Amino acid sequence: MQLITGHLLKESILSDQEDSIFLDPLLDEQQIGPVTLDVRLGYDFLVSVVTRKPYIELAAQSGASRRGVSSYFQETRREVGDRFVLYPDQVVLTTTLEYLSLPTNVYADVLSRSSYTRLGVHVNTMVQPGFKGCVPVELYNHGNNAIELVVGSRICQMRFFKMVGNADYVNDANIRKYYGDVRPMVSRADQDEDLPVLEAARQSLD
Amino acid sequence: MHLLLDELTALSRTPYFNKSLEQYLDNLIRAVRHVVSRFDNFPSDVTDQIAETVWLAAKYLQGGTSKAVPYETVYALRLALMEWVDQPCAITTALRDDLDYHFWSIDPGKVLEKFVPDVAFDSELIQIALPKLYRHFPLYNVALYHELGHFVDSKCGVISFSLIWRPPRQRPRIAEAHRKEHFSDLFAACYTGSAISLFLDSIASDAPISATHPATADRISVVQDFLSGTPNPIVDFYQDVLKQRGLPELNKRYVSPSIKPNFDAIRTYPIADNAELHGLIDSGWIYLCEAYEQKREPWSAMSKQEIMRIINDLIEKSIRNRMVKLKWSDATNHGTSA
Amino acid sequence: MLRAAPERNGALELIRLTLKLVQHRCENDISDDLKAHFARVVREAKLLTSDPREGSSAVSPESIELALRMSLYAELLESMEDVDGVDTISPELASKLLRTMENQPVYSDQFAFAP
Repeated sequence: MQLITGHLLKESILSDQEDSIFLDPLLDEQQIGPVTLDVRLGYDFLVSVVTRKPYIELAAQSGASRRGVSSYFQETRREVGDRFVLYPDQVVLTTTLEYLSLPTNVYADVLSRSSYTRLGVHVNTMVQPGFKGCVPVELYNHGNNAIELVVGSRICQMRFFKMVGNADYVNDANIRKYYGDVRPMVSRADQDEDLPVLEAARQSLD
Repeated sequence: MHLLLDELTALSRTPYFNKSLEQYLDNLIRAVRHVVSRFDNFPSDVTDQIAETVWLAAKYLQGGTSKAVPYETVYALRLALMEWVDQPCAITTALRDDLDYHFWSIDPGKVLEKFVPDVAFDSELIQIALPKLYRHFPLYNVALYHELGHFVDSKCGVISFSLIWRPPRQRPRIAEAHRKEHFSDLFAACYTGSAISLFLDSIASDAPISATHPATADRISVVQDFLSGTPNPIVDFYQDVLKQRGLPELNKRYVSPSIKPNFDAIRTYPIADNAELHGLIDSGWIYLCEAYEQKREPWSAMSKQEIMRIINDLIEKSIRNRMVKLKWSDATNHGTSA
Repeated sequence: MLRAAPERNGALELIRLTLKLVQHRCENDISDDLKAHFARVVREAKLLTSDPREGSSAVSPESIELALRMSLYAELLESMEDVDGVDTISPELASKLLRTMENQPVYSDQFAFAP
């Protein structure tokens, strides 16, 4: 596995080839650094909201109904340059402004940029090889103060790793939960195939 | 009127994300205050009529506070709208719970500025409404181009003029309705090409003639003749009417971009100009139909629902990317303010 | 686009409001701006009724709507003959004009589609 850096990183991002790293829009080539690529805060947000149910239920007990995960989040949209306030201890789902398409032999880490980490905003996630879509970003404010973010600002940085083999992301239905998304999507943890199995196991023990 | 004034004042305290709507609302409040102060002098049916207009405007303005504005759809329609109206427009959006679309102007400003001294509304208030279910499906929102056609017709008096210039020989009410529908279909085709026919076919392929609409087959046929340049008396009729009115003729105002290489790779398409932006709807519909039928890569492993979602998302994101790039370019070329 | 196109009712709103003010003898509340607007619409509508080729882009949609109604309703056309502006309309005439411009589709029910 090899970290893609320097002119190779730049060449891949600026190329139109099928096996390149595709990024749209790239507003400023200065976003491409020696080791990382800066990416920007997107304009769609899913804000977690408090409801009457005290917890998010991922798997209903047999015969019981369950409140959908999406009901715990509210959609809100902005324009580039608009402000978005992230409150302490608030979970907000968003994406990068950029649409990303990775070749099947490249995966990426997504980390908050130091300027935002120091304010209490932490992002640490990864993007699978062959990923297509706007990169999901889960924002959380660890600090005591609300932070005013600007839509379109460079909030995260990405590192790209070239693998030895390819990963067949498209044809494997199991790992295509968040494919081609251009806006934040609520968790699909409730769709994990293991959950019914675990429920059945729980009942058999009873 | 007092209640309306309270409603508008409350609205003015809600943050807007759109300066033109804020300004429109400020003017509206000032004008309504003047009417209220002279309330006793006006006959009740006059104040009732003004109140109804202002109430509708208040409903429109409510939509301006929505946090789920379909910016991409509004942007595309605004570009088309600006080719037909001179006056700036303040656009609100409404996400409907039913499956209806509309593109309306109620514009109390036009009335109020004639009654109230020193008040001028320099923009027209327009509401675009679409089904909430389709807010992220730009391909379905081709219907809004059709509704824009009705708006342009009303604004420019196209069909009304045609009824004077060429009165229908029989069943005038039906003739009037059908003229409106054919005009709006052709108007939509000017921007979205065959998309309007494909859309009509998908939602009402068997619809027969009715009092309000021509048969879908006839509607599609007229649009296809227009797009292919095949002589058609209905198309010729509208071109004559528009010429008489001194208005631009119906013609293709789009370029269908070649999106296959990008969309086959599930990548956004970099839109080059406004003609391509509108044409993306035409290309998108054709691409969608082919993806369903041919089941080639990368679509062969996906359900129809997923194919529909991804292609619509690619179109929405392509449009938004264009908007962002233009704003960025404008800001960097003109410099940033202190 | 499957629902019928919106009615055109808003097009003659200002004309109707002006007539209502005359009907109720509130001529003093009609601004000069409104009087000028009314006179222009009436003038253009009459021109258009007498010669449809006068329908250039300079003619407002409001004038076209009024002209359409005048071409359909002989009574309205006749009543408008001596009308040049607000000053030439009596309250009684204003009432009459309003009756023929009621808020409804242009074509009367007698032309409705017969199943």
